[in-house]
Amino acid sequence: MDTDLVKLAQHGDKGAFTTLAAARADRFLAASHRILRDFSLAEDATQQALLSIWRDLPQLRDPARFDAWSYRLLVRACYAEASQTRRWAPNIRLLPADEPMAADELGTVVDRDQLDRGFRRLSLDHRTVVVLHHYLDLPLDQVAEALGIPVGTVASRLHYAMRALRAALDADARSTSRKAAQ
Amino acid sequence: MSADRDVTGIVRSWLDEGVTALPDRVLDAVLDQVPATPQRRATWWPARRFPPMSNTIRIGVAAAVVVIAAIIGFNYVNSNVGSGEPTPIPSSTAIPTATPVAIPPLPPWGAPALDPGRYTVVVPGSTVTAALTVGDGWTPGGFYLMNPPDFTKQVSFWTVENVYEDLCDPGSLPDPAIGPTVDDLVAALDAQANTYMSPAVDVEVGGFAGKRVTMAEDFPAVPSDLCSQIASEPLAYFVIPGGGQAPEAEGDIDTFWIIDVDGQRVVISGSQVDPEDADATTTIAGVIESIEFMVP
Repeated sequence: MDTDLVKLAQHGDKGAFTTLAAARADRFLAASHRILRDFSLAEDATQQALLSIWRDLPQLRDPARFDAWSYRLLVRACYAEASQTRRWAPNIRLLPADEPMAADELGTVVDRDQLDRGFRRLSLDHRTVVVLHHYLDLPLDQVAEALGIPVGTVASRLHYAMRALRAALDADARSTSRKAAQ
Repeated sequence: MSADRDVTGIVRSWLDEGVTALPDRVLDAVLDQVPATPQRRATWWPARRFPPMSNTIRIGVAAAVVVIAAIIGFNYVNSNVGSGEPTPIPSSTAIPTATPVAIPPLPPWGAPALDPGRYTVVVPGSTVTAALTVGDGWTPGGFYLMNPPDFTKQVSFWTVENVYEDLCDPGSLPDPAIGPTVDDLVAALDAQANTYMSPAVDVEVGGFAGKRVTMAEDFPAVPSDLCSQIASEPLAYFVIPGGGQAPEAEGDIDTFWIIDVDGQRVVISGSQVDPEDADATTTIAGVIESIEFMVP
């Protein structure tokens, strides 16, 4: 991360901010889409987060901590978007019906659908921790810093979330076994 | 069964699918708004770091270790020369004494599992040091004890700056903040909307008096996910230096021992996932009972 760019942007250099924003825009959208499970909400959250970065950047004391700080703003933007809708739009994915699928592929698709349903059932807090840790690859202490909560809370939320996703996959495995037995 | 499957790998692979590129129009919209969006010129941004420890805490821990070593050494010498026996007459001959063993500080997050034994914790936001005894199965986190991989029980140390009037409303912090006493904090937690607090019980920890209460999110009244969405940010019972202490999940309960340690209000949190888990309750209670406080 280029701390010089951060310092320039802190002092109002729009070119520096443009470079910083462009370098993070895709990652922000990808993370927010996975947290919110809705493309238009994710776009809005990303837009709000980037604007918040510009607006609040002078308040960042340590430019070396820009990434963790910016993720915090992204998470806040995601929570704000979620609070405005208070509902989740159904994202129904149509699968090609006529193409034969190998057993492994079928299993993958079933896993994917089960995970999607399981993930939507998680609370926003739990989805956020899963995405920051397992998608953005932030270590737990950095997730804690980004969320402003203790690392112990992050660890337990992650445990609960993964346990729920495991249960979703297990439910699918039991269902598949029953069908195979019939 | 997924116990035999790499669930983490499946989840990671699934997360890697899907949209990853922001349409140009969105970034363009941001950049178009920048010229009309003034930057907020502030002189500070509050630190929000948890373990690894800050330098202040590191220094505090180091200082506490020195103080504790001195206290232990003093007590050790006193216990050796006391017990009703006549005080030895000082002589010019050097009296051999055992070298006092310093209690190690609780390591920061990321350290391996703790060996059973006694450790010290510098309570964040205070000058209080707590010494405590742990058994098997605990992992440290600076001012935190956890038991991975299940995280069914945790013990942590806090000082509280303020309490949300409504768990679901991050804008509900009273201004001015709540008062500094144990009773002030108990009253604020009791009055908090969308949580349930058990009746306060008089307790004593490490020789200091206080109250014990048990908090739970009022899930029957407010579904957790709805509350999270209303809150617009992670939930917290109260504000602590560097963040908030939040309920973990539906059914989770947090027991707070709120202790007045020489005028400093220390909160010890014992969290357990299953309120009926007697083993967790007993283990946490054992840690609490082992606590001694030291104030410089």
